[in-house]
Amino acid sequence: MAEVVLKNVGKKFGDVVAVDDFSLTIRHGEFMVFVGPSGCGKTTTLRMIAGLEDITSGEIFIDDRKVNHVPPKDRDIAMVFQNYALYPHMSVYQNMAFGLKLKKVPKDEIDRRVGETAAMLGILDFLKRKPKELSGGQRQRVALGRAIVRTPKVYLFDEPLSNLDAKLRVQMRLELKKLHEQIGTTSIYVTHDQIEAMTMGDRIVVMKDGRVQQVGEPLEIYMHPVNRFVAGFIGSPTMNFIEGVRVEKEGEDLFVITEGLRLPVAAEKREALAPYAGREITLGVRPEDLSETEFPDAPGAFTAFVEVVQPVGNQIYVDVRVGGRDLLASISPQSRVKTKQDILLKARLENLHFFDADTEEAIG
Amino acid sequence: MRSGNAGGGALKAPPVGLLQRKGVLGFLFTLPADIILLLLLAYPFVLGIWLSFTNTIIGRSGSFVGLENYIDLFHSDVFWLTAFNTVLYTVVAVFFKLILGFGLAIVLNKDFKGKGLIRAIVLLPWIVPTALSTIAFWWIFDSNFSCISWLLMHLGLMSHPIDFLGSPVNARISVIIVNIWRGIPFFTIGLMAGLQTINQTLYEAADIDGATPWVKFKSITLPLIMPLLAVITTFSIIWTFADFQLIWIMTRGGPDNATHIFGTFSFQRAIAGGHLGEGAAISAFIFPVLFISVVITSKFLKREA
Repeated sequence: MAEVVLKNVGKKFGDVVAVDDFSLTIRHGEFMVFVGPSGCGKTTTLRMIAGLEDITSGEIFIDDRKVNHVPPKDRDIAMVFQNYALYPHMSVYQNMAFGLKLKKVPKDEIDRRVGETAAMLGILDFLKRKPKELSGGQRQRVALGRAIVRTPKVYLFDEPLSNLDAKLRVQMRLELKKLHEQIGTTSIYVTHDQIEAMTMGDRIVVMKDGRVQQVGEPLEIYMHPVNRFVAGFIGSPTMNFIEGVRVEKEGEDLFVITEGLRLPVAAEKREALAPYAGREITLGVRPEDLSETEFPDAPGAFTAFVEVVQPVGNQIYVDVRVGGRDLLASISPQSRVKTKQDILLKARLENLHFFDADTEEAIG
Repeated sequence: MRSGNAGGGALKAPPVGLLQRKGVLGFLFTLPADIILLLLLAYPFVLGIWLSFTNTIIGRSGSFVGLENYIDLFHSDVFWLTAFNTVLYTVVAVFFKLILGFGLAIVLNKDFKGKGLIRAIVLLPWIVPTALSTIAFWWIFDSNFSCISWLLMHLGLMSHPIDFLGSPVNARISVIIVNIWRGIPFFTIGLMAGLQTINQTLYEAADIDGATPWVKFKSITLPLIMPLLAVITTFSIIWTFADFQLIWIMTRGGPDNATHIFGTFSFQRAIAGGHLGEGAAISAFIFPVLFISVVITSKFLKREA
């Protein structure tokens, strides 16, 4: 177990800034997920922690030891690669034992540790096989096993599940999480899949263009994204954004108004939004915060025209048009909604998100 | 064209004609290649073997003499010297080509400025016609005008020129050096292609596992490149063992037969000397060695795969 601290870490490839001023403290035993679109610098950051990439600026500490110039093997880490990086000419046993052998661990100790780990991962029957004789899921387990037998201070995962099919991915996600609860070692996990991030992370770092956008627990990020990018990246289906929404003050009350839509602002957001009265902002509504209603006078209710209905089982995704804009609503499967008809929708007012039109920062 | 045959017959299996039989059709498809192989490879090969059992000389068809040519060779000192030279030439040259070519491949596989140009330059000895480059070496090794001797003498390191091709030991070393020079690019380019197919993350995984550069070479690079290395080495053994033009241009087998190898010795007897039967018998000795090395390599490859 170890604490990993990054202080103002930066990475440049020539003139290209890959990671910019990354600061973060990863606590003992924490499962930290770096998430973001391709090229956001998450993998580069992980590789800097691993020692596979030089650090251009800043400092990295593992357990209070500065590791900027410590070679990977002396950082007491283990890494699971996206393509598994199993040694193709070695058996599963040899793959798992390789690092221990190089550390001059006695043979019977290696046997015991490989045996225990293989049993835990359910790959005991494959120890003599070569990687090419295994399925994708089995290889994934071997790659995990190779990391686990070394009992490092920190596990580093570089998109380890992205080569698996969707079903196996969900299964391995669960197993990895169980494994982490069992072993409890500090883990850093890189993914571009926000569902993986939400389901696995104790905390999440959302990155974009080499910069940290937000750090927090999954639900905190979901409920209170700090800017429009995070709001759009986290959550599925994606949040609806409506640009050019006017803020208007009527007595004590604030309204956000656009064509076909007039929504009262919830009391707790009123103070933050008040300075924007008379100006335009961007409104964010998650599809799941829109529901069907029978009461046209209810606060937050509005009429929309149904374009497409997509039932997914536990929900129905409805593409609607309001005042010339497309919105997605995720409504109850009991709904009798039909295409090319009007539908009465209601927004959950306390869950509306407001973003500054220029800075795209969240308001309130 | 069965599409016109609408109705009940659609599901009936077509009659198996001669062409539909797997063996026949396959044979027909490979026939053009078979004919080319027969004409260009099998016929000269069989003819050569046949000639080695006759006393044919140029301009006169000979008669069957059984193993006489072979028996004569076994009693000839020059033949045994040639056999020794051939093995020495092959073993030493291939050994150094492998070591130096592999080393160069590893160095050139690294990322550095101007690597494209350097890689192209490395190929030069291979693409320049041997006859041409060997003539250059002939001059470099000339007993009077050698630039190496000239340089060493002007530096005050020597008092008289080195007789590169005049003494048996010097001549052997010289031709082997030229062969190594010419053969390195083949190893370098071939192995470099192989090195590039090795997944880089394996080395990163090994870095984290604590492998030193030597361990990475021994435990990852070498095992993964071994099949390719075996093929390249076999080819090099075949070409070196059956070499001809390099030695013919530089020494013609001399001095005193010290650099004769099977190829040059056979040519000297058969074409220059006119004794086709005897020359064919000499070149027949090349075949078993090549055959054995091919068998060993293919066995090795099968085990790897």
